[in-house]
Amino acid sequence: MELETDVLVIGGGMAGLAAACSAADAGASVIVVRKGHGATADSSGAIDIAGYLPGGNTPFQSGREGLRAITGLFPYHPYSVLGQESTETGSQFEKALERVEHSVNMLKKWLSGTPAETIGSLERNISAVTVLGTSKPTSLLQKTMLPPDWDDDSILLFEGFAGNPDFNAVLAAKTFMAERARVGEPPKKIADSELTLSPFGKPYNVSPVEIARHLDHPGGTAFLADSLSKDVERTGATHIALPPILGLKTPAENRRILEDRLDVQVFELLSFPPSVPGLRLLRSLDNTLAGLDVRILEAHEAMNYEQSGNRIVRVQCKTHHRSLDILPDSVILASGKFIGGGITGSENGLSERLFGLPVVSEDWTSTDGIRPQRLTRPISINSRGHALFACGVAVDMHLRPLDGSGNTFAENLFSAGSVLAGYNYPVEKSGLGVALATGVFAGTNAAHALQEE
Amino acid sequence: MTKTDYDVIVIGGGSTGTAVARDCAMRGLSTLLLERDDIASATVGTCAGMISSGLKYMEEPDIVDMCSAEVVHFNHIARHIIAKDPILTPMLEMSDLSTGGNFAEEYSKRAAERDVPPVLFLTPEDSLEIEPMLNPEIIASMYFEEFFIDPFRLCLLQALDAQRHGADVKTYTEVTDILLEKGAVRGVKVFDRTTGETSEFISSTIVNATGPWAHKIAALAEAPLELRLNKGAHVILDRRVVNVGIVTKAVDGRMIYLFPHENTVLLGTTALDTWEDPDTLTASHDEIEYLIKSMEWVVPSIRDARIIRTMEGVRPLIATWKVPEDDVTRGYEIVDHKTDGVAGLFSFTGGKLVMCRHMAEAVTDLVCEKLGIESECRTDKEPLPGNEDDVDVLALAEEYGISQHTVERMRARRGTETRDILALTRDHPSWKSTICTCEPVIEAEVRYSLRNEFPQTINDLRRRLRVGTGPCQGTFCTYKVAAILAEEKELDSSVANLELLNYLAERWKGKRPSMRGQQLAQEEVVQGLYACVANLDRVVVNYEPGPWEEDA
Amino acid sequence: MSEEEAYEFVKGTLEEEGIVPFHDDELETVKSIENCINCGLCINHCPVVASVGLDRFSGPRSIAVQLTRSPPEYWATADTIYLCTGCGTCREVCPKNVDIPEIVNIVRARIFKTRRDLVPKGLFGVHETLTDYRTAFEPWDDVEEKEASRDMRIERLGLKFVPDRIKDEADVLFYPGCQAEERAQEVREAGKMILEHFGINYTLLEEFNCCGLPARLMGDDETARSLAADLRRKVKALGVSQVVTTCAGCTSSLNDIARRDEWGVPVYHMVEYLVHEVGLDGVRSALKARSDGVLKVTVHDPCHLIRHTSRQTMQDALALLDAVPGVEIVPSGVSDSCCGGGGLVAYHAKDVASAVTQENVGGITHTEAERVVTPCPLCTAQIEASLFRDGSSIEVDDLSVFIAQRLVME
Repeated sequence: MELETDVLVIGGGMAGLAAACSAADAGASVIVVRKGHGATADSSGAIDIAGYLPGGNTPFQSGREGLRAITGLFPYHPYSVLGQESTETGSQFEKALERVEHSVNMLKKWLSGTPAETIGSLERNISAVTVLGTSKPTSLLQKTMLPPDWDDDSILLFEGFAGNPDFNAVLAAKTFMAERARVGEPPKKIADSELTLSPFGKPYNVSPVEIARHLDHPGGTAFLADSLSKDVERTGATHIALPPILGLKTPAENRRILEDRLDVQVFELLSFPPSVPGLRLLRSLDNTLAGLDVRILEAHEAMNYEQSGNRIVRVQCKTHHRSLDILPDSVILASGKFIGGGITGSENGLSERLFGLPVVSEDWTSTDGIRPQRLTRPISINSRGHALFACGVAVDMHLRPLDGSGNTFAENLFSAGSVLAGYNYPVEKSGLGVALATGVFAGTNAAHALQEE
Repeated sequence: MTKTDYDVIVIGGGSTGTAVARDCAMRGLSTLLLERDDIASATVGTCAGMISSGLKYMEEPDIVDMCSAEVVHFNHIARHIIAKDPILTPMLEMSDLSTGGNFAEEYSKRAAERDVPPVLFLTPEDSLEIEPMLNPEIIASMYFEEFFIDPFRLCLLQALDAQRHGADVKTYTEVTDILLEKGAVRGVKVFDRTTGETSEFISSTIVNATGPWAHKIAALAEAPLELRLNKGAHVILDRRVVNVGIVTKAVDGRMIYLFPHENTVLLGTTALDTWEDPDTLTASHDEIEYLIKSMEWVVPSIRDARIIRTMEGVRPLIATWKVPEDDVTRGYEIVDHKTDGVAGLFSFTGGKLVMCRHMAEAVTDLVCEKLGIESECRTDKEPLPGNEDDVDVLALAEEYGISQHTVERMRARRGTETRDILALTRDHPSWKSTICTCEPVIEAEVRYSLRNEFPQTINDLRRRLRVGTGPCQGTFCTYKVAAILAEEKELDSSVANLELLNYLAERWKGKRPSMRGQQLAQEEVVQGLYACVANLDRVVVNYEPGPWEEDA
Repeated sequence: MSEEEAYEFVKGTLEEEGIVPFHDDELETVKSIENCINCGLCINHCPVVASVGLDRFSGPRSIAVQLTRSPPEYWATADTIYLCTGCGTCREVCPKNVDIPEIVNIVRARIFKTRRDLVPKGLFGVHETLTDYRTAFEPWDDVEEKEASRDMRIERLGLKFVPDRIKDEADVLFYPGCQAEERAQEVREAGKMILEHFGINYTLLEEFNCCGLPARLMGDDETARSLAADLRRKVKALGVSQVVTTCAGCTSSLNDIARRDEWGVPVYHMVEYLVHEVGLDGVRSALKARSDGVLKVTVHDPCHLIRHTSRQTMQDALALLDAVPGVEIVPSGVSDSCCGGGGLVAYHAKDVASAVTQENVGGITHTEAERVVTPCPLCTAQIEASLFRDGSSIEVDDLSVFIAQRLVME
């Protein structure tokens, strides 16, 4: 079977969905093929733009500051690539900032009114609190996850759920308190407690998504409020930190119910997978795409392609028992890194799975034949990160991948997200931000390329 | 007041040291076991767990006799932590058949006492039915059976049984000096690595069971001791990709193997002389490729299997030089340093896991003789803790509402102790929650271990419970275990978070050399959780790199 | 010991250890589960976890990282592994497309072979019927009663009786599946009507037998393989160039065995056949509204089509419905959620199956739809029963029946 489309997006995470949205916004017909969910669905609820320089220990005060530093220092960073068309309109930083700002505005619009409604800006990084009680700088957060303001009189209660080992309120509270004491900032009083909420009657092996679904049911959140009231009374809590379980459908409404009934401020902590906020984000973006008449072909994997001259003219996809050929005018490769499967590696080195594009390191040097161990450091968790996670494809100023000779691989192939080389998201705290900004830019470029024809 | 005088001090908490402590304690000696790290944290912790019938040492019939008898003893005292692996040796050439013949004869002589069949020969078709992963080109295969033990649990159970018989066991206690008086040992000076304090323990008899460090310990008493240190690497696959164990010839003609072990498969091993500090060793790329290349001939798809990690250990061989490692005896020696002018110090060299009880019996006989005590060895007769009775997994699963597989895995580690652990959930139902999803391990067992088995770190819990040893290598249990550890041991949050990073580092040590395939995605998840989301790369500032982590 | 005796001895030892060696054709599935990175995305999506909780059903990820790592322990998974409905949602959302639904069948096959005492008792009825009659449902004792039931259904639904066609040199084999052969006979009749209407040179099997799916789902691998072999022999003997079925389960199962056993003949669901072989224009011109006014219809996507065959099949189904005059499609938002009828779960754990179906029932009853249409007689029966239990008056139609009812009769 064959399908024609203006833009084919390969990959259905943040980069692919942002690309699809922006291409559709620009009037293109769009098909997304998604072989499975990936890192975006596993994400924490934060949308990082820029938190740190690799190796640096002082967090950026804002996404803007981060963009300035990164574009100044790392010419091969995707943010720098976004700013490359800078000759007429100002500096590389300004151009990059403009593009990232645009993408943030687009995202906020797409997610407006959804369960993943997002707040924050490039003007000030937020110190988000995680399920381990640690803090991290991020630019955007799902609305229910924004830590409220607190002062010296505030009492913050970390509340856990019996039988849900994904979150331990005792250690999270201790970690958070130690951190607050170290920087000398409120809140000064921190408590922890655990309540029993067993959607299926057993106070063990309770998954976060079960609690979230339960809270979406009529009366579910009111019941939680009743259970919480004893702990609020006992601890005098003015603020409550919950693991991210405030519902899949109506988290903001559920939070409001809790706040009204308990007269406290409530927020969710950043999540580890399996992630309720990740699910909210992906579902909300999927719905936005449906509203733009974009088709997402679930469980379809791009397997092969045909090239005619300097253009990709056909992408062969397979699903369980059928195959499907897509005839696109433009293609956006947003297939992710190792989790998404866009980049794979063996003892013989790394490769890009679909087009066989050369994989380069963070400074765009070839990784040809280098075994993965050599792209890592002896210490697992370190602030400089492992080069392995900054490897990917090199691109031109329109985000079109480059071949081994540094030429554009195909004039109608664009790329976005973690398949790109040049950024080390785990240590930079820049993952979804780069995915979003490059996704929007690639989508716009792909749609723009159509109009040129 | 802390006891400081002992009949005997045993140094080293590996298979031999714990066996010696158990034997001494069971014979009524007041016994102190000192281990500088954790029980089973070095050589025995990196072995394949085979209690070998002696297949590699057919040239040494006495040793084969001993091994075979020891297998029978283990099956009596520790059957709850033992499993049988059927093994195939596929033959690709006629020459393989002739070497196999000699082995078959020696093996089959002693098969009946171990209740296994003699060596059998199978046609290629039948071999492929049994193991479809085999190379279809094989011309025949040889079949035999070996027993495998959980080496961590064995050592721990020996230590716990020693405790039960009155011994004191001190882990994280490093012997820094041996006290001498008039040509005899008087005791030891130790450094407590947990508290940072030093102290002395007094005894006229010291057993040095420190494996690859034996010469260093002997040197503290100025007693000479020579070892031939030889390192070996294992590659660990994520699950039982083969139905049976496979033994085959490596690229250099040595024998290597692929053994199902617990719910993984071990591919091993290499043998290289080494002079490195055993603490710094990791598997090298050459060793990994040597093993894969060698196994590929008989199991062609092995290269595509998921490697989750590697491990590297050091064998303390008897110092025989100018012969290949394979030709060095696998027997053991007890060196009585009296002849060196240090009375009361006994050191072990050589030996294998399967011999540890035998070695202990031999040295304890010497110790008893020295102390003038007459007491019979009972270590081959009395069961180790947990082996007292059968366990009805289905009934316990039903009674406690816990999944059968969870209970079965617990039984394989615990035997009858399973009942005590499950009973904890009566008062604490939330402890039925799964903490490590791969093995699996429930919260009750983590708490039980913390309260009864003296672990200090998550890595110690790993040895006792197998937390973090599955496909995800601790990605999803490390932070959960850290929280339980912090609560039980009342740790500061900074210590708990350091402990979390220490365990990730320990896992990384084994994962890094073999990184490829889906393990790259798994590692991206690790970085996603602990660096990207939790920000531990910035939050934890006082992390001390381990000896293997020095950045080149 | 001779080599033969040695082999028998070793097989005996393996069986004692609970090891049943994998077949060559299972190795790819076994390989796929190695790819799990334990991220747990599947837990967020699994309909069984959603319905009964993670403690009762530890979810797809536990199947990949825990339960399937060691064949000697497969017996101990019996309390979990039979609760999977095989919907395939996990495989679809999984970043690594780990083949959970298939490994579940492989594990069940091992338990069936080594620890039959642990197989849920409720499954042995199906097992006996399959081995006794080679179909999933016990055949009617009295052929006349069966025909009377068929005629009653035809009349109630306004279908037309077309005599069975069993002939040589047909192009297409029409394979209605066990449900339509023995229970939902109207689907078989509707299929015949449609093929007849479009002048297709088709035949039925002279002697019908099950494709083996139920046997595979319960772990009776031997029966499953023997049924598949019978069917292959029959298809080869007929020399047809295409197989068409009206059942979603049969579509995926026939595709599975046709690929595995190298039939060399494509297998289509009726909706695919109509859209791609007959052509949508031809279909459109052959259909009329059944009554005045607009019928509001919502669809249910059978898992065996969307997740075990292709998501495209439901695009075809929607295109067909869209071609029917007087029909308005109302989205339910839950069309692709499992109806609970899969994996034979309903045979031994009715509570689990009906809990799974709740999301469906809730979604459907919240729409303004008057009718649910689904291209599968099994889903039809499952959803019909669930809606009835819920006190809903919404009717459920198999899509082939729905189309046949609206064919323009000469």
